[in-house]
Amino acid sequence: MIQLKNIDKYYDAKFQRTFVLKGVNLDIDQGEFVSIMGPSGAGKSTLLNIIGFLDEPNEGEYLFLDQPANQLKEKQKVQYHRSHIGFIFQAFHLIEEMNVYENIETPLVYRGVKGKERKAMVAEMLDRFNIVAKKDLFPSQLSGGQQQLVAIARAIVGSPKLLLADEPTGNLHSEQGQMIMELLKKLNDEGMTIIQVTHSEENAKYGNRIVRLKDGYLKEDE
Amino acid sequence: MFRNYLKVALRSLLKNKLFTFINITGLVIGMVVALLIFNYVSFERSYDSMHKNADRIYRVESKFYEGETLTDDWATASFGYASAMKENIPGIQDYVRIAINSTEQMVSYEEEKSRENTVVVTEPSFFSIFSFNLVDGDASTALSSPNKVVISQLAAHKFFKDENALGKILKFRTLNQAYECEVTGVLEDIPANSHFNFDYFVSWDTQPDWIKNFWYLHETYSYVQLEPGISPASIEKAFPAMSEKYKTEDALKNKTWAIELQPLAAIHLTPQKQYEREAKGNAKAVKALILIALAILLIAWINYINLTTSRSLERAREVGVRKVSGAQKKQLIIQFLIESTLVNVVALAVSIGLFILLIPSFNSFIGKNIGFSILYMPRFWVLITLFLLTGIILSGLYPSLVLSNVKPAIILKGKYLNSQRAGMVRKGLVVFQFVASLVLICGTLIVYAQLKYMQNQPLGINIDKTLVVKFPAQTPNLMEKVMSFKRQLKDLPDVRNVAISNAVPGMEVAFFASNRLFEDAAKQNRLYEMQTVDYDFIDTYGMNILEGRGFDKTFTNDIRKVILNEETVKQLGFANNADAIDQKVLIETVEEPYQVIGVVENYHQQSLNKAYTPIMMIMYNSIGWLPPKYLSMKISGVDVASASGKVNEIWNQFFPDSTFDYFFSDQFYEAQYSLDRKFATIFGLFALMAIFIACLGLWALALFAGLIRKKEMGVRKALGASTPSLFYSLSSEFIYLTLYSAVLAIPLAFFIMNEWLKSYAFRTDMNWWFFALPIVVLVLIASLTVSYQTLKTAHSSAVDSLKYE
Repeated sequence: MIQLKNIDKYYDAKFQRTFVLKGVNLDIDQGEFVSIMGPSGAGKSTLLNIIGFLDEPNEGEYLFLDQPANQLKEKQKVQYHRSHIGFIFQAFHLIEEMNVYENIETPLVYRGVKGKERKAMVAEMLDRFNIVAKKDLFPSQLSGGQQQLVAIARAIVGSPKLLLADEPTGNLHSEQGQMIMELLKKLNDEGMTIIQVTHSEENAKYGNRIVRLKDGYLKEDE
Repeated sequence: MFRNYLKVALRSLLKNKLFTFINITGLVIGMVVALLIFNYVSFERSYDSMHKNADRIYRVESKFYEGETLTDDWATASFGYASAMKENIPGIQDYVRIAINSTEQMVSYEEEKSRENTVVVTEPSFFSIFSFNLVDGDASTALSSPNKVVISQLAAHKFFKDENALGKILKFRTLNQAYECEVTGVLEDIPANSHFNFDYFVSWDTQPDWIKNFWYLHETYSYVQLEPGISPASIEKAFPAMSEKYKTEDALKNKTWAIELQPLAAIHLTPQKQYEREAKGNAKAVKALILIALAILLIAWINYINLTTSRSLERAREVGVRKVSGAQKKQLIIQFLIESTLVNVVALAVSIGLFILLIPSFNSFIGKNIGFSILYMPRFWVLITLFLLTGIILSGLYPSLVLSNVKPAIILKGKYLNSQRAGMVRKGLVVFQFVASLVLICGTLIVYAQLKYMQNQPLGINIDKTLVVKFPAQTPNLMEKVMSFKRQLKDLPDVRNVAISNAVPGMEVAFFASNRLFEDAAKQNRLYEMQTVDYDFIDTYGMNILEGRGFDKTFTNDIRKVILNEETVKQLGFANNADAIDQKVLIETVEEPYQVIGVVENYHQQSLNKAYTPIMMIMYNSIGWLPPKYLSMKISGVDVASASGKVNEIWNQFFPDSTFDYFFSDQFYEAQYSLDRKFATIFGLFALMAIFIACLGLWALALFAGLIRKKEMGVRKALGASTPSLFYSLSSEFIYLTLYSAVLAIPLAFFIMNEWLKSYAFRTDMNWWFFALPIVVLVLIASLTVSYQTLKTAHSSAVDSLKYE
């Protein structure tokens, strides 16, 4: 599904080139649950962003579904965001001005899903995550765990093939974190490919593969 | 999708109520000001366009040339021009003359009497050329025989209340004649945007025959309607040759008699000419107002841009989320445009409401009844739509471009810093706002300085405590009665001097005569204003005699003597005042020459807008066609009001059938500046608005700077920076912005205001503080605006600042 070949990512300062990623090779198959680990500044998030088309490598080749990513036009990337990739973030990033229902609905709106269908799809999510009663509340009225639930619902409502999670439990206390991890595991069991960035060995164990980064190099792949 | 956008836009606006309020307030102020100005401007430009054939109607205006030099330029034509043109020059379909040689008359019906200054004599074609309708009477016959009069509804109501005016007899009296006219028509109200302001239209044949086609009395407004396709230039070109046939007398024989055909609709906004009654519009002021309106609108929209982009930090996260949810750039732009549409529509709706509320006070302020008619004009709504579209695009597009360009990978990490370029743009916009505000403040100062200068300059005459009474109308033994009236007034303890004249300070003398030196071999006639006075006039108005003497009772033959002002001495060609004394001057229509007995210092007969004009003074009883019109008296006591009461009592004994109409000379003179004063007030008011809105923008910028530098401030604080030093590092940037603006604004303001001052004959000097003061004021206002926000940032606890992110 994902093939990274010799990926470099660097920033040029006046006399110095700082590498964030250096010669990264990584293959991820459909249905995997990969955890990217490593110390701060190792390039974990950058790698995730490149995979999610939010950033571009300076060197190297990235094939997504056998399609070279560096040839994708802006519009095609948007298309991938609409139908293939879902994101969840450490800080949840729900839209403050929208209630739970509307937050979940947003990607469907951009995909141009018809109103009736949209309603059914959102209702299914609300139902599945047990948050029907909270559908009219705004993010500020929810706990962190609940917000992340909504964020996951929003990320998967369009049934993406790939779910990218950037420290999904980083802002949650352990009990809620555990709940979120269980949920991700379940999604993976249902066939969704998941890549998460995490600091926690424990959370990493929910996945079936751990990739370790250090100073931009891929150190270990287990 | 659309509903989704709208909902989010609404919620986002409601969430930041203060922000939204400030944003909309800025827009509303800008829009209301612009609406008021555009309304006024469109009214000013709509003058005389209501006539069906307006595009083919021209006013015949006189121009005299000596060789190539234009020496005289009048709004009037002589009685004979239009009829001669119709006879001799092809292309003229029809013409109408409106005689204004005696507009002020005593009008009476039974016991009701009133002095009216709106009496004209005109031809039946008045109704076929102009699209005015009669509410009563038959337009085709109303003016076709002698002693008929068509009156306005206003006049009809004044004399006949609710009775039918038709068939009633009105009595008209001037100084030297009395006649009666039958009312044959009542004219519908003439719209406010017409340059006509007459109420009594006496039929043409009421006049004596000799005057009807007379070439040597330029006291008609003559209008010609050209045949379709005829160019006015061809008529203008044919006129001088034709005129040679008619200018048979000596007066002005050396000049070329020409005309200018002024398009009817252009009359109102062209500069005031001599012999022009109408209070004209000022094309320069109209242009200035349009510029001000546009500047204020721009400032308001820029404000929206600054306020909105200053919130981009907040909004960026939302944009990032939307982007990873699959939003295209186009969709994001549309979303932000919808927001700006919402804000602009709300602001416009509020503005239209306020505009409607403010129109009455605005009208009474500028003294014109513009009314609400603008709201029914399709043009207005086109303008409004344009307004809105421009506003939405101008104010919405840039913020949406900035916001939709943010990179989600960066934002979602919380590391959003506005790009340097966006910061530059925002600063550029603020500089623009400040430049506009500075130019407006400088302009206001200079407009006021000029007004003050004009009001405080010595006039060369004394108009304090001077009561002016208009002359009585025709009555048996008029002049004997006036003389005994005068004597009785002088016996009053409060009255020091009483003088007779045909004009008083504050008005155009307007009696032009074509005169020359008696000895002049070349027989060069030039035009001079003829002021008629009596023995007491020069003393009453405290004029300064530079050479020779004034008129004096002890000399018995002053009736053929003349006194000149310095301007006349110059125009006659004397090297100095003394040379003029005892010289002989030939005055139009009088065979015997006049001897110069004195020279008075130049004085401001009219406001300082106008240059000195050559004036000759002769005795009031010297020439029959220069009738006296005013009695001026100097009041010596404190109680001017009671003195005028006493004068009124005596008047009633002498002239029971003339109304007592009076004014005070200083107030009358001052009234010439009312337009300038209004313009100054409007200018000042709008400048204030502009500054206010610009400060809203500055405040937004400070707010934004506070937000992005919050962490920096926290770090500085943790390192031990004092509040003042933090304050400096936050606000120095804004002070620099104001200074950059000053550098740009000063030359601009200097250039614009210099041009503007050129339209005044007497003008104030430019002072350095006209430019320094606005800068100081703006820096002060700007610092005050910024300091609250900056201090707030500087004071906030370091822990809070550092926790951020």
